[in-house]
Amino acid sequence: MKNFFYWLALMFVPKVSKSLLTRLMLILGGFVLLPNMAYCSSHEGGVSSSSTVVFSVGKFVLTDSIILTWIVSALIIFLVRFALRGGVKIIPSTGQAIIESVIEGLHGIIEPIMGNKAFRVVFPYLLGIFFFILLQNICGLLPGIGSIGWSVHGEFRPFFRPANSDLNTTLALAIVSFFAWGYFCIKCTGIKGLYFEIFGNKANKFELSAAIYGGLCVLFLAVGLVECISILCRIVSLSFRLFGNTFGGENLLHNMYGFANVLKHIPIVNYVAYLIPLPFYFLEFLVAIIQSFVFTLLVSVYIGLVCNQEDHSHCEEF
Amino acid sequence: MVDFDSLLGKFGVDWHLLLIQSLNFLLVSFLLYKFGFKRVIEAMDERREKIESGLEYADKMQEAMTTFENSHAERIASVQEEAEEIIQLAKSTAKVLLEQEKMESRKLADNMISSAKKEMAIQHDKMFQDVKSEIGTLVVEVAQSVLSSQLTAEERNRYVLSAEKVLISENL
Repeated sequence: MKNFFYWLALMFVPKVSKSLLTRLMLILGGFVLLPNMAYCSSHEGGVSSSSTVVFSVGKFVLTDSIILTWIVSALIIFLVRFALRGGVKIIPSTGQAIIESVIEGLHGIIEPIMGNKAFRVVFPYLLGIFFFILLQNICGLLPGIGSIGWSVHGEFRPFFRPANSDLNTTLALAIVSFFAWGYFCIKCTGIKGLYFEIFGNKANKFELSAAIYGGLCVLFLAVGLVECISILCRIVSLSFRLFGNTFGGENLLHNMYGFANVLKHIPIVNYVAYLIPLPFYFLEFLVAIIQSFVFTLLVSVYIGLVCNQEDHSHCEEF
Repeated sequence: MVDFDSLLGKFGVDWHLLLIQSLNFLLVSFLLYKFGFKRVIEAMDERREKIESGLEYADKMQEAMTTFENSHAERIASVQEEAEEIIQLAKSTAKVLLEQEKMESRKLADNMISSAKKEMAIQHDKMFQDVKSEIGTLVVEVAQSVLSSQLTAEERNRYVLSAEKVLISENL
């Protein structure tokens, strides 16, 4: 993981110097100066719980979060292509090494959860989730996101909103993950296997009397129904966890700048007032990584719970 | 009862936006996998296979080297043993040959000595015969010269023959 954070930091620093200290200074400088400059155009009050429509044609609406999602999506693809410029080689370039270190890190954590066969099938999807959420979260911390916009009747409307601070994005990810869960579980265990996993009587038929076994069948059926509700609730838990953390982080940073705005009127303190949000930027940077990891890990756990029960020989790779 | 519509409305949830975001995520994931991660994973697998096969090969080579070293040492030991045996054999053979040569030389020398003795005896006999013949002739000639004036021819022959008989009987 140490490697992973190092390379992650490297991604956002131009190749001015090879010194790690210089890179850290650049990152710190970026976090302190740029958001402060951007805050000049920021609005007062809390962050809106819903996204803002920036552009609409008939029923087609373009919200601030969708605009940023598209920009960041293009950026993700560009970054990956840029990292792999010159082609993928056995002896990796710096960019390839960054991607490989992330893949290797996730591989080491997720494979034991899912089992080798299911892992080979599901891993590409999990990589997609991880990179998508991670870069959407990190880009949400960039200056100008949520702070540059226009005013309508005194109400501030940003051009860009962090994708995961919009419930539409997190809910979409959770719903897609729910269907992906169903698809991968059926691919690995079959419909019968999935049904048995949820509703099946796991007791040994030969060790129990018929009456007890029959009773347990009814019991397991009832447990299966509860399990179904639990599975459906995963959509809510996954989406609201990610949304809550990102949205809460946005509000936290916003309020810290509000606090700094108040402190700037106090003598002496005014010199350091805008340093107050800095620790929270680090916190949110950490949250961005952790939340992308948590989402990925939870999806892998949900799939692994079904697929890693035994060695399913018909689980094929893509 | 929770009013889901108002709750979702409060957060601006709209199925159009959900669909757009879902499609966007799926598209990004697909493109990332197709043009990025797939190749990276393949390269990682290939590298892992190469490393594994390399390590396996190194292990095999190490094992082969150990086996070779062991067999080499065994071979050297057996060759040394064989060499020592050969040297011992050579020494003993040389000893036997030396003894044989000595015996043969001695035998040859004995033969030469005995043949020389024989030759000497033959030469001695021959010389003796020659001397005897010479003496006989000389005696005859002397007797002839002495007696030629006093004896008849018949008496001379008889005298010579009797003298020869005497000489022969006395081995002169």
